[in-house]
Amino acid sequence: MVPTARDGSSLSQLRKGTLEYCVLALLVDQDMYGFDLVKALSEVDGMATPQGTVYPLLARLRKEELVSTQWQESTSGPPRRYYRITAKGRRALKTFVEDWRRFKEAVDTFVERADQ
Amino acid sequence: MSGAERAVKRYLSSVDRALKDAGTDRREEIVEEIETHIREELSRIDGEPTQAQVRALLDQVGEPETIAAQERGHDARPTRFPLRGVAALTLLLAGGLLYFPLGWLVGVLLLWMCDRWDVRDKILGTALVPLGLALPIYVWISGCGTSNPVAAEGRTRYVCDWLNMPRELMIGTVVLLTLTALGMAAYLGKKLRPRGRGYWLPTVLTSPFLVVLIAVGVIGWFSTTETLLKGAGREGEWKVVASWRFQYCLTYQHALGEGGACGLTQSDAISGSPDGRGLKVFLVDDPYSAFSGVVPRGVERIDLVTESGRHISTEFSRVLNITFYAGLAPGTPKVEIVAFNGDEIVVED
Repeated sequence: MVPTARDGSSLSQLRKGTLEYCVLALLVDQDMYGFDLVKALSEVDGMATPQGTVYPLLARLRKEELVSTQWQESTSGPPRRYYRITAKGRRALKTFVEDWRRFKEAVDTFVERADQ
Repeated sequence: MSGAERAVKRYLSSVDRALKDAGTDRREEIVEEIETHIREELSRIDGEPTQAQVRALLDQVGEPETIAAQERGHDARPTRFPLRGVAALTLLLAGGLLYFPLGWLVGVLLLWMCDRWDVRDKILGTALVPLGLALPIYVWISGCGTSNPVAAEGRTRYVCDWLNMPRELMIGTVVLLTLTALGMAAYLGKKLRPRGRGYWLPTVLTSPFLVVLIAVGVIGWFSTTETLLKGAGREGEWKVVASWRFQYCLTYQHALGEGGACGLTQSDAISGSPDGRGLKVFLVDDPYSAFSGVVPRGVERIDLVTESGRHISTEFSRVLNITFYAGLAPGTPKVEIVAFNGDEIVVED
């Protein structure tokens, strides 16, 4: 695997691997309009990414059937595409959450030494 | 159109361009969503947005290239060259020429083993065209390489041996089969090409179809060896004049001149020749009127007179092109063999 567009920041690399699960997590309780989803992500420091880059990600999640989309009428302007997590998406998220907890603990075990 | 609107349009079209490697549907979807996003942001600005506001907004959305990189990101590793797919297409097209018909069968096997095509593509690839380019070539050589004159409507005309098809129909069939085989390879080759980044090969070689064409050319080069002078060409000896993997053409040197025959193997070619020695002479009156017959070994003089009294000696340059069969074909114009003088026919009216 050859990393592309390396910006040297480990945060950017970490974000790359986890952003999609953050999107899925945002959708667990409610369907979301793309714009609101992007805003919600950009509000959290550390997850902020050029807003436009979320849409290719959403398109991919849809293709992989981790999310589905519905059009909903809007009171202001054209119909909006709402994203909804699918059963497959929930399963993928559940697996990730378990993996993430293990991974986080494992990394903490090492990085805490560096702190001391 | 306001300045803001122009800037947005410009931005969207550069996003669209940057996404050129994504599939059309996907590209439309992403651009549409980004446009909605921008419009939503703009609608939250009181009054007419200033240029600076628009610029800041578009900066937040991100560089078109960054967006495209995210789109490519999930398969960011360089795509491996689709070796199996290219091999499959090459063998489907040209495998039959190399080892008939085994090469083509291996191509079919590879086609079904390759995961870059769906079942529909695989069925099409198998059915169009069986044996690949070998089919039209074989149909042509076996069907029309030698043409039999037959009588029709009071005149003798050429038909192809195979299926007794009229020559024009045969040519159409051969062209159609060839184009279908090439078209199918182009279609399947296009599907081999990945979205996203190219291969590690230079851009010019990234079209799998081009690679296939080059490979077919190379196979053709090595499998066709013309003028293989295996015999010395002395009287009473066979000489291989053309040889493909599935086709041998030989000439037989007679006292009268050369005769020739083609076949799947050398012995096929020899046994398929009219007199078992390959002497084939075809005497042509005009392109649609002809007769044929075997020139017996040792005959030194044949003169011809057609019933119509037509002068045919000028046509004799066509001798050896086509077939001269035993006896007269039914319905051929009556001819009298008068004299055969060297390699020139003298017609005495």
